[in-house]
Amino acid sequence: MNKENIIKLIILISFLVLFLQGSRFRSEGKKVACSEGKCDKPHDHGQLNYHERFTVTPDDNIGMATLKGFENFWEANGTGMTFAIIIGGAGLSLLLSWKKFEQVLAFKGIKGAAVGSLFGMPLNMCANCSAVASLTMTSKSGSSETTLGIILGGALLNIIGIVTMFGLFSPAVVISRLVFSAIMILVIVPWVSKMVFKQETAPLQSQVFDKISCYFPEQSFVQTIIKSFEDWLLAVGNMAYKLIPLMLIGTLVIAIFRAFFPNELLHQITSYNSYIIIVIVAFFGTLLSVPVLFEILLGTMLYQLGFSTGAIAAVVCTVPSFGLFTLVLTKEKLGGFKVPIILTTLTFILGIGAGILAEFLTKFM
Amino acid sequence: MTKTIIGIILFLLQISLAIWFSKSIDLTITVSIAVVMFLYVIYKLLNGKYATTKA
Repeated sequence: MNKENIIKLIILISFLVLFLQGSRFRSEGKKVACSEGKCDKPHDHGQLNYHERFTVTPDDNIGMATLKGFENFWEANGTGMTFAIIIGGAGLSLLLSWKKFEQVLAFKGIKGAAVGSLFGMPLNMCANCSAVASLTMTSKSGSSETTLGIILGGALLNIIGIVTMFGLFSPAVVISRLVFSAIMILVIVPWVSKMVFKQETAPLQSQVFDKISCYFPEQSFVQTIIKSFEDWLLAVGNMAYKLIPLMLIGTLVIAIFRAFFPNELLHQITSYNSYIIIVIVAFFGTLLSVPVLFEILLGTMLYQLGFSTGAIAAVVCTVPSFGLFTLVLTKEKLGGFKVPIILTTLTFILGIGAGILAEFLTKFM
Repeated sequence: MTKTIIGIILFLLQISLAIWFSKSIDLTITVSIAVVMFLYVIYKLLNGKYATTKA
C-alpha cells in the first residue's frame, strides 16, 4: 500500500469517525431515549421520524400528506444521506487507486455478502443511507453481493439498535431479528446476486474516474493530500449527479406510500388473528423505508397496542430491511427492477417467517 | 466533467440543507473542505487541466 492510498484510507476513516462522533451517536442516543419513553415529548412521535417538522393529520388531503411526508423523510435522512455520499465518495476514491480494495469489493457469493455486511456495520445507517454509501462505493467495480451486503449490514447489524431491542422487547424478537439478518445476508443476497450476474448491465462508469485513478505526485506530501481531497470531491460529484435525483424519486415514493398507509391503519387490525396480523405487518414493513432505529419505535407502538411478539418481530425485521426507497435506488446496479422486486418479496416472506419464529420462541421463554 | 460539476453543486446544496436541518459541526467541517476543493477544481477546470476528460 503506497503513501497516497494510506492518505485516502485515513480520509475515509476520518469522515466515518467525524460522522459517528459528530452526529450519529448523539442522534441514536436521543432515539433510544425516545423508544424507552424518556424523551421530552413522548406523545409527539411522527410517521417517519421520532420528531417531525410537519405533523401529518387525518384532515390533510393526499397531496398535503405527501408533501409533508416528503419533507419529513428528507429531513430525517438529511445528515445520514449526505454523509453516505461523503463516505461513499471517499471509499470510491480509494477503490479507484488501490487495487486490493477493489478486489475485496468484487468478492462474490457468501464471502462477498459477508464482507459487504462487515463494511456496512460500522456505518450505523438505515438501509436508505447505506444504499447511497454502498452504491457510491461499489459504482465502478463492486459486486452485487458486496453492494447488497453493505446495505443490509448497515441496516440490520446496527449494534446500538440490537442492544436497545434487548432492553425493550422479548428475547424472542431479538433472536428472530438476528436469524432474519443472517439468512438475508448469507443466503438471500448470494442467491439473488446470481440472477444479476446473468443480466448485469455495464457498471456506472465515468471518464472522470480516469482522473482519479491517475498516479499521484508522491514526492510532495502536501500535493498528495490536495490530490486525495480533489479525487474525493470528483467521486462525490460524479455519484451525487446520479444518486440525488434517484433519492428524490425514492423519497416521493415513500411519501405517497405513507399518505395512503399511515401508522394509524395498524390500530384497526388489533382484533385480527395473530398470524394474519403478522402477514399484514410484514407487508406494511416491507414496503416502508424509515430512518435509522425508527423500526424500534414502531415496535414499541405495536407493543403498547397489545400486539403479539410475532407482529413486533415482523416489524423490526422488515422495516429496516430492503424497501421501496432501496428498490428505486438499486434498480440500475441490479440490472433492472426484477432483482430488487424479488429481494423485496423475499423480505416480506422472511418477515412473516421471523414473526412466526418469534411466536414459537415466546412459548419457550 | 460538466455532469461532475453539476453533481458537486447538487451535493453542496444537499449538505447546506442538511446543515440547516441539523446544525451539526461534522457537516460544517466537511462543507468547508468541500467548498475549498470545489474552488480548486473550478480553477483547474478554467485553466484547462481537465481538458482530456469529456464526462
